[in-house]
Amino acid sequence: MTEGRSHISHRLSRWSLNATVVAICFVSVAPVLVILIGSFGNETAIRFPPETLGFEQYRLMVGDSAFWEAFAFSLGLALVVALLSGAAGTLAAIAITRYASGRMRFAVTGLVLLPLVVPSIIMGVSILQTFVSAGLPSAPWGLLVGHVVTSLPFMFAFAVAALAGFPSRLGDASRNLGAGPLRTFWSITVPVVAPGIIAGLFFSFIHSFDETDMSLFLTRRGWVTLPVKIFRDTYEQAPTAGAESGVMVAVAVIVFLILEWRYGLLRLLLSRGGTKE
Amino acid sequence: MSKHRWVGWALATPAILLISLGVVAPIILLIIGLFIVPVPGPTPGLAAGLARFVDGPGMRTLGNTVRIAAFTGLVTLIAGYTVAYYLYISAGHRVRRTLVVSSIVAPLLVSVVVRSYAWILILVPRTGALSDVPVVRNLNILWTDLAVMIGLSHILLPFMVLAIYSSLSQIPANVSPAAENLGAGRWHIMRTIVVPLSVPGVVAGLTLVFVLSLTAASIPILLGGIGAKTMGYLIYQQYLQFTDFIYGGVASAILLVVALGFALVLRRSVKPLSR
Repeated sequence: MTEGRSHISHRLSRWSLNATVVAICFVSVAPVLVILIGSFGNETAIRFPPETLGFEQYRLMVGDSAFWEAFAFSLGLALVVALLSGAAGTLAAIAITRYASGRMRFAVTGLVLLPLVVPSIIMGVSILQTFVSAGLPSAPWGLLVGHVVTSLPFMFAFAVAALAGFPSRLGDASRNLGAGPLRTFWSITVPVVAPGIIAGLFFSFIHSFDETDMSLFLTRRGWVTLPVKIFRDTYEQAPTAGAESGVMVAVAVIVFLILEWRYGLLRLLLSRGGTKE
Repeated sequence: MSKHRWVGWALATPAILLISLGVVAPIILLIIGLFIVPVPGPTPGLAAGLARFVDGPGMRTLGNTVRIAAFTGLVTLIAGYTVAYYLYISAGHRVRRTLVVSSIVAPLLVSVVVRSYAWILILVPRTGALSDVPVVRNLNILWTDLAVMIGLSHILLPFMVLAIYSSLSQIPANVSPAAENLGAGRWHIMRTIVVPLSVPGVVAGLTLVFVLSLTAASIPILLGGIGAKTMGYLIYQQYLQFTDFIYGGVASAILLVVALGFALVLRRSVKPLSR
């Protein structure tokens, strides 16, 4: 029959699909690799590919006190943001999975997810304007509020998924066997729910650490985040931009490994549409 | 039951407070600020601001931004659909899927500034990664709108892939094989089953990519060169370089209206298509 012909054309189209996907994946990853390799160039004028390899750019960066200030501020801010949005998001998730009527669930979910539809620029501009109108500096508190509020939807989603996946029969069984509510909470609920919550904390952390478009409008002298510093260094073609970018990539890689190996982030993204229990 | 409700509201209060004070109030203030003027700037008044925007380079900037966003949407749609379709038909091969998803999703964890800087390294004439390629060398891609489109497409591709894949992954696994058994060719299956069922994901992806492209700031500033050729750059200039909060506020409001308008239009135009 026509088996032979359609078999070859099938193989050809499969092959070209595979090749295209490989090319797209390469383009997706290549820029990150370019940054990593380029940051180890031994010249102060950044070029790719670098002519010689060395640590010159990192040495410049380490000697730049503005870098350390920005790095420390970004780290500290991201930690605080993760904790605050973690607390608020988890509490709200508990509220709608355990204590809410349909209407309340709808209202709270809609409100908490609201930041997702507001563009980063608009967030930055409106918070800046709010603080300026009040005669207050937009950093650090405006930055904190902006970061927390934009991390909150993600944290909320993680927490709801974690809590909704906890079968209440486990809690009932534990109570039936005689454990008090506090004991049940610590020994049963927390271990089952914790991984999802912690994954959400890491996500909030990296979201705040990376945040740029909104922070551009809210940083002030002395309160500069690392991404904003990199933005300015890139704009002015300062030599430290390469090494600083390398540091950002390193942090991203660490968080990615944690999220994937400990919490199976990719599995979560790939398995959609199927219902568990 | 009412005690239950009360506890629920109490638990949700921190989040509700944060969103109200951090998002709702500032945006309301931004809109009010268009009419009453609490902030620095030379020419007061919404009408004056709008006139400045329309008479000046504002409309051209807006049009340019929309053009860039449309191109980005198209590119990410083609590339994203290809990857999502590949993931869909490779349902059994765990290693391949993990590799593909990793390489698409992992860059999301790197800040957009860093990824923009990477594209500068690649595209800069004379010292960039592509400067040895003969065709590219004479083109001077960096600091043009094309560079912005490339950077935006690269950065927003993961969102398109995830959106389309979330639609495709909901097609029951036995539908395609069943259709093949009944004699349908691959293209026929694509046309009549896969594509229609992927429409919600495509619309979600397009909306997301389009809105994010329209409202991008750091990417077009770094890749697009001097001169406010996009709305993000314009707003950045007005607020941070010229301290003209009024004009900046007008531009922000216009951008917000356009972005949300497009999102709504996309949603509406799909309603009759989905079944």
